[in-house]
Amino acid sequence: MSVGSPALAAYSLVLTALNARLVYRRVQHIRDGSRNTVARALVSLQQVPLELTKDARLLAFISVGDQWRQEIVDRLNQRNAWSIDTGSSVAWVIIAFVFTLVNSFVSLDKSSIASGGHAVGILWLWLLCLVIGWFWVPTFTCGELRSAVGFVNQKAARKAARRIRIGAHRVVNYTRAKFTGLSRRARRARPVTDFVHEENEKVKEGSVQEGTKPIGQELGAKANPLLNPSHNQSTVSFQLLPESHHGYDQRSASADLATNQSIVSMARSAAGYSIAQSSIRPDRDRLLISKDPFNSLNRDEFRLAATFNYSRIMGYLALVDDVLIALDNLTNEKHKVGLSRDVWYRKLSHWSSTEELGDL
Amino acid sequence: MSGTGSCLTGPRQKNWGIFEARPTGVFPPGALNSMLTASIFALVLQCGTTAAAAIVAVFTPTVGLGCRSLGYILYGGIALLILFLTIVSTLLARISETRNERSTIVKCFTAFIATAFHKISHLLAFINVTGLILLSCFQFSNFLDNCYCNASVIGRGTDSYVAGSYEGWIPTMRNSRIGATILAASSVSIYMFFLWLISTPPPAVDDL
Repeated sequence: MSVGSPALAAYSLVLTALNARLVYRRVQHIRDGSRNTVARALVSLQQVPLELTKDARLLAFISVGDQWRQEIVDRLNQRNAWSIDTGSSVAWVIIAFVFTLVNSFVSLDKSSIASGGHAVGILWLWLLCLVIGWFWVPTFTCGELRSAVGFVNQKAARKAARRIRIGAHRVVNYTRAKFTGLSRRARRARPVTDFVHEENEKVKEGSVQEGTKPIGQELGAKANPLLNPSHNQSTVSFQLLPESHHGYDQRSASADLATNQSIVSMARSAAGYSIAQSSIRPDRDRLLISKDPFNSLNRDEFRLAATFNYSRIMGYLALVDDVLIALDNLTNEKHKVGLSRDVWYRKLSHWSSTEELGDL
Repeated sequence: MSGTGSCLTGPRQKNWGIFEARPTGVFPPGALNSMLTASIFALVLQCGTTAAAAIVAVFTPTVGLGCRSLGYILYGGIALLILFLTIVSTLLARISETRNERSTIVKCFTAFIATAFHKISHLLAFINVTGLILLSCFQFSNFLDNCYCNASVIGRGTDSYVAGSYEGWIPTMRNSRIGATILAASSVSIYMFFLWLISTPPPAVDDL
């Protein structure tokens, strides 16, 4: 495909770079410590077909841990590094091309009528551009993504075994998206829930806090009750996390696990396991799911080579938009609440346990 | 297949429920701008290299459109056609995916066109690959070194001839080759410079 249409490959390359740039620029409007990490994660997801699940607001909880961050940074550095091999190969090609040109000019009168390598050399020149270009633009192949995720997942599982999960995961997108990176429609989109009103209801929320569960059980459950609106309220598990300096970090532990799990499943399904996987378990407790190959209009989305990034742009940018809106709302909420962890967790539990906002 | 057969049951309907925050715009913000920019630079790269190759071939005696130059132009043209079809297909697929169930005509029609364009572009790409490799092989194995090709019959018609010597043509050849090289180099450098500009390294991890 790339040789068949260099224009398309060049288009993909520029598009990938533009997307990465867009993500990095938009994310700068978010006042959250995890913003650059989130941006890196998003940029690295360009090469797999993705879709957010119905309960994708959970993604607002991506506040990714140290291992994940370190791993991604390492891999990005790895990708961008020019090694001696690649440099010398490219240099060799350039030298050969220059010799062809020189030969073409020196032996103008003697050259055969076939016009030699000059025309053909120029015709293949795009290949050199693309090879160099893909060194500049960070790409993650599916295998790299999977190995990174596998590594992080182990760590996260170990970490999570020590911690308790807040069951209440839901975030209601309560305020307008304020940062300028968003479209006007996105800014208009958000209804506002009444903060004072929710504070008044704290008393009622207290009843939800019984029925705690450690994280292992929670994940082992067939369907996450929190994500199932029709489910009985009494099964909602909620427990205040242990004390620490940063309430935010504590919360992120559970998010870590959820995120990594979903990314694992995403990477797996991208590798072709999707059908088997989805027939066993419903997608309900995943943040990111791989698109369904049978229901997609564009089959190129499922080709994992970077050349096919052009076919993923719509889904990818929509996903970026969703994630950033959610993250921004979450951040605004955090600042508004003033980082009081008690209030914050109570609000979360409230949102996750009531369906009073159902008409929104 | 997926377009006609399953377009009604097809791309999943997004039902966010109480988390309805997603603006229901058809194209996500920034998508169209990116696509436009990217396609312009792809166009520059492809046209520059192909046109330069064609210029070299055309201005090598006998001057005129020959087998080789026609091959180059066809190659570049088909590559651009593939780019165009793919972009249209991406747009239509997105339109089809975001339409709601009620507008079945629009949904199915766009899905059909998108799928068809997608398949056509794949077919064309296959043809183009074969053509390019064959062309390169023929040229280097002197298969194209025959009367028909050397006389540029395709471009000149009955006026064609095989040039015996290059005597008077040397300056033309030299100038055209210099021009072609400059054209190719400039288009490549425009593309690479732009790519270098936009591929900024990610910012350092900061903690607010």
